[in-house]
This record gives sequence, structure tokens and C-alpha cells, in this order.
Amino acid sequence: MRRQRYLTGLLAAFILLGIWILLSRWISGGIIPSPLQVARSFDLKAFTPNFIVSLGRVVISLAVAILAAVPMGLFLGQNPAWDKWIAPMIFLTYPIPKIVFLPIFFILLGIGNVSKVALIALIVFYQILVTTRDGSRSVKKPFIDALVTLGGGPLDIYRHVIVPACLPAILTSLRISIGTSVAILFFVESFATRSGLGNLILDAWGMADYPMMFVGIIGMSVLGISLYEIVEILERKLCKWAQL
Amino acid sequence: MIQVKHLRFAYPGGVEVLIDVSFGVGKGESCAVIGPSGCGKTTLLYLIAGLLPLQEGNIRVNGAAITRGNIPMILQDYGLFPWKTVWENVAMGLILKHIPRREIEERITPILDELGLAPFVAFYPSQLSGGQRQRVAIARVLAMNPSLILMDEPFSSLDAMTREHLQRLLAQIWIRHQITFIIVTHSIEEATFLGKKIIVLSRRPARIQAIVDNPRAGDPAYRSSNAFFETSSRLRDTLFSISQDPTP
Repeated sequence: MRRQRYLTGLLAAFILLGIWILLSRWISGGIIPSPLQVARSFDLKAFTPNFIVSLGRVVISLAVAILAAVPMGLFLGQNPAWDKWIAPMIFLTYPIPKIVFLPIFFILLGIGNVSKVALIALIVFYQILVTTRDGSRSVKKPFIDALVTLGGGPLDIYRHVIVPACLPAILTSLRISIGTSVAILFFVESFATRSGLGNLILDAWGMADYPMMFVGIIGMSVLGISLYEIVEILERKLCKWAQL
Repeated sequence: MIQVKHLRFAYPGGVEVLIDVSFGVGKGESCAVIGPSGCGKTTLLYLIAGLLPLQEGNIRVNGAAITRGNIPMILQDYGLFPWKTVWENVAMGLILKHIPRREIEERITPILDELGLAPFVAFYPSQLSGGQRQRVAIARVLAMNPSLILMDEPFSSLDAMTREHLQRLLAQIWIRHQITFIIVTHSIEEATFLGKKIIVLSRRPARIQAIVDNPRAGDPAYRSSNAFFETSSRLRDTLFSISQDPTP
């Protein structure tokens, strides 16, 4: 099963590489450089610090969002009295494109990492919160009753029932959030920074250094795919029961 | 062992479910509760388990008021946690009591062997058959070494053969471990085979319609005897008269 997954993944990578080579030949002006040109302009010394900065921003943002959204979602899902008051606030603010608050974040939190991390965290917070709250709300009451009859208290209910029951939903929301957070990362790294893959891409674009621009694009892709794969591994380890 | 006195319960909105329900079950005795669908059998069990708050009347186990989480219960469908293995499910009650793993192992291994679950300890509930799942549920309550077990239609979703097999297994456990149990069922035959005392509830709001003494319950030979069929017919007639009764 796993071997087949790797084989199909490898096949998909080859197909994408083929499409890239074809596009680099068809589109003139060097806008799409060939994989070989990109490999030649890859500079580990320039790439690594930018990759680490971007990775740090995304990971910290996701961690902040998870730490805030998961407990809140689990609690709201189990406490309709609180949910009744908080849900309208969530649903009124959920559709607002939070990215427009970037200038306000820059003014309030400065132009450093804090504002960037805060904006990414805020955006993915909603995705994780809504999914976790819905997951927690749908936990069947007989599971809780069963634990109570075995002597489980309120914290045991969260530990042994609510959290494991919601874990597949939480990890799914995390997977979706990874895509979102990398996209926002590019946006926030386009302003007021001299570091990060977003900055590397925009700098290279400004200098018409398309191979270097592609180094940044591939770096962003590797970042997203790596985090996605980590969540996949976590899901396989922690939610075996849901994959049977 | 357990005394239920003048129990009255209504759901929010004033829907009365139980009216003046009183009965007693002796130590090591089995009690089956039967009645029309939706009459309040499960509510009665949830009140005894402490999962619902008492409104009127009282329930005493060995002379003491009931407390939540002290009486293990086997539920119809959702009793097992799908995210825990058979071992973890069976050990759950002991894990909650913070008993060391070695002691848990010592306590549950004979139970897993007795119920034929030893080869499945690493399985998840979704990998088991319905009958195996209910055996896990039985093992889980036995691991708690309880004096009283509550069961809410534990075999209702099983096929006839598996149900009969598990009823026999339960009767053996009851005799061997001398555990008091109260089983809620909608099956007349199940009530007759498992209940030394059979409580028949009326339609909602439920009152006790009849209490039938059934001394041969649990005896495998009883199932094919005339006495079994006579008791079953008496129960059937009582339930039929309840369903025909126009008064609530």
C-alpha cells in the first residue's frame, strides 16, 4: 500500500518535471527556465537561511494557531451554552479576508516576524477552530457516557474521548492550513523584509533572474510538501483506527 | 444489593418518563427490564448509573446513595472506543483509576482468555465482528471487578446465533462471578433466559406493570423447557395487554 503510494508519487513528480521541461522549451524569453538552469543557479548558502526563516515563520504560526484553536474548538463543541454566544462572532468574522489587516498588523506589531506570524496564525486559526468545533460537537454522547460509567471525570473525557475522536478532523484542518499558510507566507514576505523565500522570489523577479526565482518557488513547494508529509505521517501514527 | 424507591423522572419540557418505579434486586441476582419501545427502560438504567440526575425517589446500592461512575455499564452500540485497541478498551476503567500497567495486565489477561479475546488484543473494534465487540464490552466491565453491572440492550444489533451464544456466556459469567446485573432488553426470550427477576414496564410514562419471578434463569437447559415457553408466553401476553391498553 505504502510502496504503491510512493510509486504513484514518484510518477506524478516525473510527469510534472516533463511538463516543466516542455513549458521551458515552448515559452520564450527565459521566463520559465529549464530544471537544469535552475539547478545550476541553486546556491545553498543563499537558499538555506531564507528557507529556514520561512519554515520558522510557518511552523510558529501553525503552532500558535493550533494551541489557540484546538482547545477552544474542543471546548465550544462540548459546551453549547458557550458556543451559542461565540459562534455568531466566529461566523461573522470568518468570511472577512484577514489578509487586508496586514498594514494594521505592521503598525501594531512592527514590521518584524511577529506581525507576519500573527497574520498567518490568525488566518489558519479560523480554519482549525471551525473544523475542531464541528468535530467536537459530533462526538457521540454514548462514548462519553461509557467513559463516565468507567469512572472517567471531565478531563478524562477530553483525554480519552473528545481529543482522539476529533484528531482526524484536526489533522485534516491542519493539512488544509498548511496550504493556506504557505500562500499567506509568500504574501507577507513580499513586504518589509530582507529574508524568507517570498523575498527571494520577489528579489529575483525584480532582477529578471528567473532561474533564482524558480529556486525560491521550488523552495516554497518543498516547504509545503514537507509539512504536508509530516502531517500525513502523524495521521498514520496517531489515527490508525480511522484508516482501517 | 440495589433498592429503587418511588422513582419519578421527567425530561425538560415536562415529558414524564417514569412514575413511581420501585423494585429491589438482591446480591448476585439477575434482573431483566422489559417494556414497549420508548417506555423509559434506558432512562431507568441511566438513572441507576448516575448518568441522569435523580428528580424524585432514591436509588441505593448496598445501602449507599449511587454516585456517577461507580457502576459499569454495557451500551448497545457505542460502548467501545474505536480509537483504542481491544487491550486499551478492556483496560480503560483501570487506566482511569491510575492502576499500574503490570497490575492491569495481571487483572485483564485471565478475563481476555476467558472470553476468547487474547488473540485480538492489538485489534481495533472496527476489525472485530459484532459478537467479538460485545465480548470486549463484557471484558471491560469484568476488569473493573464489579458487584453490579448494567446492560442496555447489549445484544440487540447481533444476529440470532451470536446473541444466543453471548446470552449463554453472560449466564456463565453471572454464575461464576456472582455478579448482580440489570439488563434492559426488548427481547422476551432474552429477558426470560437472563432475568431471575423480570420487571415489565408499562407504556410511557412507565410504571411497573408486573414483576415476574423466574428462578431457572441462566440454566442452559431452561431454554428448551416448557417452563421457558410458559414464562415467555406470560410475558408476551402482559406486553400485548400493555400495547392494547388505551390509557397511557
